[in-house]
Amino acid sequence: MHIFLSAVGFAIVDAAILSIVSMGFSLQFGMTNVLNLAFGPLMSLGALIAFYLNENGVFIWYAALIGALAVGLTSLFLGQTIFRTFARKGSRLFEMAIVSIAVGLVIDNAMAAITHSTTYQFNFPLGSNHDIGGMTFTTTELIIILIAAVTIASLEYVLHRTRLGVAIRASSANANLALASGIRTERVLKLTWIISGVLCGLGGVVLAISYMSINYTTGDTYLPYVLTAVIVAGIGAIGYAAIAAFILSLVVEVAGAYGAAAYNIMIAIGILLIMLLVRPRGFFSELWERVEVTA
Amino acid sequence: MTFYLSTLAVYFVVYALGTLSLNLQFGLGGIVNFALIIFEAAGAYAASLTSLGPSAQGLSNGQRYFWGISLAFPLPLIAAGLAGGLLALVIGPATMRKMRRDYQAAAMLAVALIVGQVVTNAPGFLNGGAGLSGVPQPLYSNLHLSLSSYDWAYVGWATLLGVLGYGFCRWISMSPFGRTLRAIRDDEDAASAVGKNQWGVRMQVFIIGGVIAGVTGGILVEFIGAWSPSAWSYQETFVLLQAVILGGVGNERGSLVGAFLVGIVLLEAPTFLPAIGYPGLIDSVQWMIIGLGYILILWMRPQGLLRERVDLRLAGDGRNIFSYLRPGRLRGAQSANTSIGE
Repeated sequence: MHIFLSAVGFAIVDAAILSIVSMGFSLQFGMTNVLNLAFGPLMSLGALIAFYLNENGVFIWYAALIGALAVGLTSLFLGQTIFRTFARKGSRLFEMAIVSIAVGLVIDNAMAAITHSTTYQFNFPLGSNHDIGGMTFTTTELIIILIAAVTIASLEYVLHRTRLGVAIRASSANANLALASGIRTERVLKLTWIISGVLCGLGGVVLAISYMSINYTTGDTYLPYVLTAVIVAGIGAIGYAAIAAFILSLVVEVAGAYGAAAYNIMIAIGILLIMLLVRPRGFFSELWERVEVTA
Repeated sequence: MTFYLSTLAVYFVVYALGTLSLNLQFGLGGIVNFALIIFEAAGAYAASLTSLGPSAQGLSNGQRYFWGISLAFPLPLIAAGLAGGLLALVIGPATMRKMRRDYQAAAMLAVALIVGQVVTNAPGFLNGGAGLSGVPQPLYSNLHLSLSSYDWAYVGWATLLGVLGYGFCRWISMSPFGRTLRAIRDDEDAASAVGKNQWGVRMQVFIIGGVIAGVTGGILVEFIGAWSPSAWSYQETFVLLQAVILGGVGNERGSLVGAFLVGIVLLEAPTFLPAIGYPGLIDSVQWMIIGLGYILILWMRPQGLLRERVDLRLAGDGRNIFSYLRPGRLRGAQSANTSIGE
């Protein structure tokens, strides 16, 4: 029982991180219909920026915020230049995925060249341990969980209770119709790139903080978990992506606690593969039929 | 110097056949095979296991693998082709499902990642992450050649296989089978409507591509003598895909050009140059160039250097095998797609 409870504790922390990134991915995937595999490299980028700032004396959570915002801007830049160019040219789903891989390769290897492929260790106190219902969390982990809770709540609020949320959901479902009914889809698209980029960067930073180490491949290695959560939930099912993230983390951590720790990533990739083969539309997607790309 | 040239020549054959194989599957068949490299890996492991001999024979470097036998010269290479084909037979049915092309790509990437993880994490299977080494070079002790003449003899053998493979791919591309593949790629519903069996045709080309990829693995491992998971990370397929796209999707001569430019000029030739910067810098720069290359090619010249043209005059008229080797008269249809892979 103790093993199980501690596994659940780990799963909650994992789920906090994974849900932040998955919601960002799902938001952007639903809006643009681009399977953006550059998400992994962007996570590493945010984490590396935060690490660099932290090493130079910036308080870690401010550094995290700056890293997240920097990735948001990078994401906006990529969306407005490269992805838009290809979408206007008539690129479709597969070609957009290739373009995102290419962007990811450039970002990844630029980071490798700058950092000399070093793995850095974060260097700040994790804080004391807290026992909550049989599970043990460090202060840092509690802050990560809090960040995730705030993120999920505010994103759900914005999406379902504000005019901006209506605009985002309408533009995802049918960009032309949304434009015709007076929604400034261009602006909504820009906001989507920024928000999803911020979530991506934030997720990258908290991932690196929970690992206490970071190198340029951290995000890439993590990307299969994100894809699994997003695809299980279905394209653009943002809230459900957070739920899928929690269930996936639980499965992975419990399996890990009972002896399959070396196969964590394989469990995730296995679920991803089974989903893609058996039910590629996911469980909660309303945008599955879309074939065109918006960027 | 001569060692460099012979090594580059063998690598060129390996890259060229790998690119031709991916061009068959992706360029003609429209199958988004982002896991091509695992077929090459299967071939390389099969060739290693069938020439290393049983694991229990106490090899000096203490490798562990699940099975081994020592076979005479051409047999390991045939085993390599069989392994690639068998793997395609196993994986094929799962990938033939009709679905979004980006999801198909993600599924194949997932397959490549899982296979890589399994081989790395199971030390008794194929010696885990350390990989197999000491694979004997075929006929080395029988030929009584010096090291460098043996290398050149191997280049000749590899080139022979390369020419045969190229002729075979041209033949498939020009045959009625090739036309069927193109028809299914360009319009699945129309091809079905005229009675083409999509599943069967795609499965066939997938297996043929798997066999060719397996043989390339065999050619490479018998030359360099070692093979480990780091040699076939999922990213290697991006190199071959870039060669296909740069050369021109669906154009076999283009595949040769692409394999030469991406595989040899960009990736292999610089390994013989004096190192610049810290160790690993060249590697990062090469991969950045590959990333930028994708963006530039797809943006400025998506049809590739040599665009696809189907020579309707030659199609199905196989007077002799050599007619497929010479450049055909260029005319006829070309694909109207603006987006690669759809």
